[in-house]
Amino acid sequence: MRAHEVIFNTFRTPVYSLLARMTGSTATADDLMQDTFIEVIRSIDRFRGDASLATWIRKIAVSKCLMHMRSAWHNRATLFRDLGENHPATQPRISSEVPTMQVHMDLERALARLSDVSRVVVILHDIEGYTHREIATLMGKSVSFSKSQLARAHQRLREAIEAGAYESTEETEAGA
Amino acid sequence: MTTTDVAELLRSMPDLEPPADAWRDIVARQTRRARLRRMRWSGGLVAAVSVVFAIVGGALYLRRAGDGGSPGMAPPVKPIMVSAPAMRPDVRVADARVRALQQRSHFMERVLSEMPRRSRVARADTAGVIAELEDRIAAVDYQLNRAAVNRTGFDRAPAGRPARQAPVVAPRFRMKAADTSDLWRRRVEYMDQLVRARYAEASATGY
Repeated sequence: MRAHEVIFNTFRTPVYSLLARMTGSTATADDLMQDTFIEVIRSIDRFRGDASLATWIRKIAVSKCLMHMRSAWHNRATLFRDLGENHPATQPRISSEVPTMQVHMDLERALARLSDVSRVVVILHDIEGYTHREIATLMGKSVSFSKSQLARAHQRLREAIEAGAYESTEETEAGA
Repeated sequence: MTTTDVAELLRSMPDLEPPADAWRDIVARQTRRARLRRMRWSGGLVAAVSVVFAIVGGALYLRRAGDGGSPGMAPPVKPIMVSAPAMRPDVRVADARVRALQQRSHFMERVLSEMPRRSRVARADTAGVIAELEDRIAAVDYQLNRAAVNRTGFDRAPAGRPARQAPVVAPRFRMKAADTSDLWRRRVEYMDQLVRARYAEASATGY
């Protein structure tokens, strides 16, 4: 188990971040992270080294997440996502402070407000580097569907960031 | 701000810290899974050994009966049937249905337990619906408990008597698998409605 624990400690943070942002729920991300690493432990013998270990583990995480989103219970569970205390953006778990923290928080909030599909598309494309063709295959949709979802998501995120920047400028001016 | 800027911002987002005890949970789940696998394995092994013993024993018995005794004295030999205890297909289906309903009911319980605590200020009509649903669930639970107690009582026999001859509860109290399934189905329905009502209440009170 020692080697498994090393793998877990090395990849737990990126995997958890990916899952929390894809699902928009820390509780679901917890569960899916466990599922992901159990799968990793179970099938580590089958890892052939074609891609890096990180890529392989992230692929398992993405697959677990998509399976969860297709499940019958997912629609019911999303009812409670908007209750506020369940989203990563509202939890003080950000591990490093950066000057653009406010922008990142706006971005997290805007991500959480996207539909599940748009959020998954934007994360897979912009963060994970999947192509539209790969996303379309994973989600069982067309390439143009993936493109339109991404464009719409970018539009929403841009608006949210710009609105956040406008608000903070107003606050600064009012303070002065 | 361009699309590329958004993508870059997304990539630069800081990582989120997972819960500290996640590894402990994974180890616990792995241990549970391994134990289950071992139990399944050993159960299968015991069943296989029993089948082999039954076949070998039967064959030896047949040979001894054929070799040793005179033709007139040999007892009539019945063919030995070795098979797993069979369950009627309809019972199996009903059991599976009840299990699925129980799982859904447990899921709902978990969802309810994770909801925010109820506010003291609530709409009277929503509060009334919630109280009504809770009462109905309690009534279903009562019937399910009664069914479970009766089932246990029926199977248990007083000391000194074989179980089959002495039902301690009259057969009319026995609940059919279909009735149990119906009760669980009703429980799931009420739980579902309760979750919705609690969600509506939580939304209305500002969560």
